Amino acid sequence: MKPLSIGRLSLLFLLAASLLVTGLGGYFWLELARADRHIREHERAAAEAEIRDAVTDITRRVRQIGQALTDWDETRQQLVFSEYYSLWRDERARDTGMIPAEVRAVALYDRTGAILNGSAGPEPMPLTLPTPTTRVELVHDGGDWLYLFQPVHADPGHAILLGYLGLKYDFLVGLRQARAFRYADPDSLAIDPAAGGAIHPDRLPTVLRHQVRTTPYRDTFIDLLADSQRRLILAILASMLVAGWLLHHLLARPLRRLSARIDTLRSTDGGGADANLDMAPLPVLELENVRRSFNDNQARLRELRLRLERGNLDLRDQALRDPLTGVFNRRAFDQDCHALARDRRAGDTALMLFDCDRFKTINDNHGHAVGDLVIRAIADTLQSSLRAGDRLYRIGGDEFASVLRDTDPEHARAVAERCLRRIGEHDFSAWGMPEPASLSIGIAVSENETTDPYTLLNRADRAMYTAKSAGGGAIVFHHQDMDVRSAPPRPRPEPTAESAQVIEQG
Amino acid sequence: MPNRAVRMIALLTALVAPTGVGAAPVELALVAAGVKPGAMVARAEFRPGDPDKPVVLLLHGFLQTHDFPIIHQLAEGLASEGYGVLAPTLTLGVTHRRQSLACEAVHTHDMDGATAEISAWIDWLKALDPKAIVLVGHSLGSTNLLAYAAGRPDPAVRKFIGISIIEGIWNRKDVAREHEIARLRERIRAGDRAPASYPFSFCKTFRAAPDSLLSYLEWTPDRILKTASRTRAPFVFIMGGRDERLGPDWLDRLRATRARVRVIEGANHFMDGAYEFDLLDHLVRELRATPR
Repeated sequence: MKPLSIGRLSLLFLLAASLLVTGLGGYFWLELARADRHIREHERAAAEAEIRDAVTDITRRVRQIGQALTDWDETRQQLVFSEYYSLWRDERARDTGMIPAEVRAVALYDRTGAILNGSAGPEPMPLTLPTPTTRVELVHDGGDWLYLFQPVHADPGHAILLGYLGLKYDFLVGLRQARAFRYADPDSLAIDPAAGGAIHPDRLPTVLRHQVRTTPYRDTFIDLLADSQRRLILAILASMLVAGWLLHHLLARPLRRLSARIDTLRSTDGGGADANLDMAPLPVLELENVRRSFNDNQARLRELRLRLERGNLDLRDQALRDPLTGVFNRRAFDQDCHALARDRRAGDTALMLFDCDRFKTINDNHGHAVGDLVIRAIADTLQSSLRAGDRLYRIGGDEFASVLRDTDPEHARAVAERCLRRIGEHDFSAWGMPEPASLSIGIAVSENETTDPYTLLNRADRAMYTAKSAGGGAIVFHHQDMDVRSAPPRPRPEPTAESAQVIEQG
Repeated sequence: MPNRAVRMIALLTALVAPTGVGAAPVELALVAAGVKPGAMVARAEFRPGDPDKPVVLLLHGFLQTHDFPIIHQLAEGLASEGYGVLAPTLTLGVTHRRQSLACEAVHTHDMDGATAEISAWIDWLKALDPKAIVLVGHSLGSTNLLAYAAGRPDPAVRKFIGISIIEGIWNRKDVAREHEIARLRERIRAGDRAPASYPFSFCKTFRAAPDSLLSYLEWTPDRILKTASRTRAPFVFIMGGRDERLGPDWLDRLRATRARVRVIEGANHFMDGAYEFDLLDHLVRELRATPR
């Protein structure tokens, strides 16, 4: 599987989080709808219960009114002497407060079921008692009247029937006033027209049409929940934006920079060991640890490389050094000569050639060990007598050379004389030598003629030969006369690849 | 009913016979003109007593029932003394009347109807074969008894005791009682039977048919005094010394009749239970003095 970049992973993360938020929003919306549906169902059930209770209350109330009228002495009075029945019906019965306003009419019937005095009064009532004679029923005939008919007895034992009481109750008005409806809308109460003409109270709740009251609390509650949901989603989206921004700035971008930097270092091929992740500290601890670890590894690699290079230099230096004296050897001399030959800017140059006088005798008389000590002492003395930047080469068993650049003959002579003086001052007696060693010094100066080192070497060799011929311990500058009688010049060595490299590097 | 006076013509039956001690409800089916048989039933409470002692018919006041406190207390007190007590409730035109009749009710009852019911109850008592019958009434109930006595009282009735006897007070100041009586008679003659409201007795709005009110108004104080003077039956009045309902000279005028007057000093109209035992003592003394 191809690995994904942190940018794409972040995008995928944000996408997944968005899907999650969308899913959550949808779930909340469904829950909200479910809560709303549940509340509505509860309100509808509560409204139906309210109506059932109200119908029960109304029926009970109508029966109580009827019973109170039946038990009333003056009702029995009218059933015996009905002369003032209309007065009782229209005034007296209402004046007592026994009949509420919802009772639109009362009527008394004799034992045969005929209405008293043959008159129903201002509000229509059945002129003859319906059968059965005891009943409570709702009649839907232009109004919604709850009729009550019940017998009136003279005695508490109901042995003496005097007649019947009827009353007409405005059912819907009474129902609306029966109680404070919380769920059912009292203004919407209506009898189903298809319910029929006469309805028993038990059937009333089933034929009563009603609407559930729109309660502000429910809408407020739902609106509150919906508002909370919107705010929650907005808060989550805002949080996601912040998280995305943080993810981008704290993780994705630094990681991308880190990766790009590493890629860059990788593509620079070898230069990477020297390079650091020269970045600002990363804001994430783990990434910063990676960056530091990388830089630490880079530092270790760099140190290792430096050690290797130093080792290489040491090896190369050792290859150019004389193992006995530590000064440069013939190989180094040849390399420097080739470099000098190619240096167009080189000024006046003096090549000094040193040869130990009677060194063979020293070897023979004192042994090679002493000979080596003498050679080492000569080398040390000569090196300390030269300028700091001047190199000393051992180019033969007892032969040393030095190339003094930007030097005139006087300075070369001063150096040579300082060398002779210090050799002379050196104590060789410790090694059993009765007298100090001496040197023959031949010097060739270019003096604007030529800077070819080998030419100078040959000239210095002739001068040194002249000095040695004179008994040694002398300094001889080359001059042209020496070219006629002296030995043939030394062969010029071809520059090696190593020396060429040294020359190239300057 | 009032202008076609209901006449109780027969005592049909005693629905509940008194047995043993304690109060027993009694119902008396009345037969009256214009009333279907069995449609009018009067209620009473009977406490049987010592057969050797007189039986008391204890009648309540205007529009009350036998459950009125003073009646109930007296009935209990007399029964405890060994007297049989019948405490009827006048029907006032209401069969099985159980409640005090409201002032605002349509009143069709009259003095004659009450007299007939008293007579019927006396007949009921006579069926128990008592040694003697004493009629005791309270307030306007005393007037009812006087009205009964003014007729042809049953010989079994040996004594009448009127407690706080008073007429039905006419409370309208701008119209004289006599003037209202005349006007009512005129209306009745004209066939006007429309009920009207009057300030009568303790009622501010006594709604009554003309003949009903007339029957009570006609029992004026003078008529009461004259009747009390003329009746042959022994009559005793027990009055409260501080009865605020009476006229200023009512006690003196009563004393001027043939009736004997007992006055309980400090007592009012015996409506509130005060002087209940004094009243009972006076009653018992009079009952003990009942002629055999």
